[in-house]
Amino acid sequence: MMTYSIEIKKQGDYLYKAVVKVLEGEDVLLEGETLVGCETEQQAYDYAEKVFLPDLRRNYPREIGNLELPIDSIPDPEPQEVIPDDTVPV
Amino acid sequence: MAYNTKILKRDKKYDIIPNQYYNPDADQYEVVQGKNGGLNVALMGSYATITTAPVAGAKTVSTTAAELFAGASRLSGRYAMMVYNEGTTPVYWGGSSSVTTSTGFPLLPGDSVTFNFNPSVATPIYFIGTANTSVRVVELA
Repeated sequence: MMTYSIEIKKQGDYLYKAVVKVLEGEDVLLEGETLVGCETEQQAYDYAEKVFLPDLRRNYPREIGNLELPIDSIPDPEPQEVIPDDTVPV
Repeated sequence: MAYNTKILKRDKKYDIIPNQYYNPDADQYEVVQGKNGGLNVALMGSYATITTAPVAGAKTVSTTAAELFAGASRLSGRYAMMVYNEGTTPVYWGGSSSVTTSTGFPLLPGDSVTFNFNPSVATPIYFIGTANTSVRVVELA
């Protein structure tokens, strides 16, 4: 089963380096890193998990296409019924 | 034959003409010409040639400022990066991680930008958007 790790390293004021690894067992399938400018370490982590990792999965489908991420379990918003506005003349 | 087996050209006073070059096709020295006080020069080659496989990718510019590149990390020794905004909202770029949508340089939907780099200097480019925006990126090294 594929897993991933995210390591956040503070690089300076409001600058973090996110190092992500996608693993199968102990084998590193893909490793990437990026610089993130944000206020907190948690924001950098969220960026790595919700933006950077999904992009990596999209760009390396053969290597890590089966990686499951938390954003996959977020359901699509249910379609809402559109109520006609009677106040607008046709 | 080689350049060191050939004789330099001389003028009518039998002095050696300055500014000659060896033409291997003609196997002889030839006089360099010019105009406006300068010599004609042909530029042969450039550092801007692809030496490693280009990396292209689809990326997301989010509301968090982050470095943009094509692959899993910045391509080492890159001399160029092109970014195409294939989304529906502008994205903004800058050389600092503190770039915001108010301070960054805009890249409008459907537009592209080319960055040229000194390959020996690692220079991150940061992007930010007002919403998640899809871009395409390619890096050359």
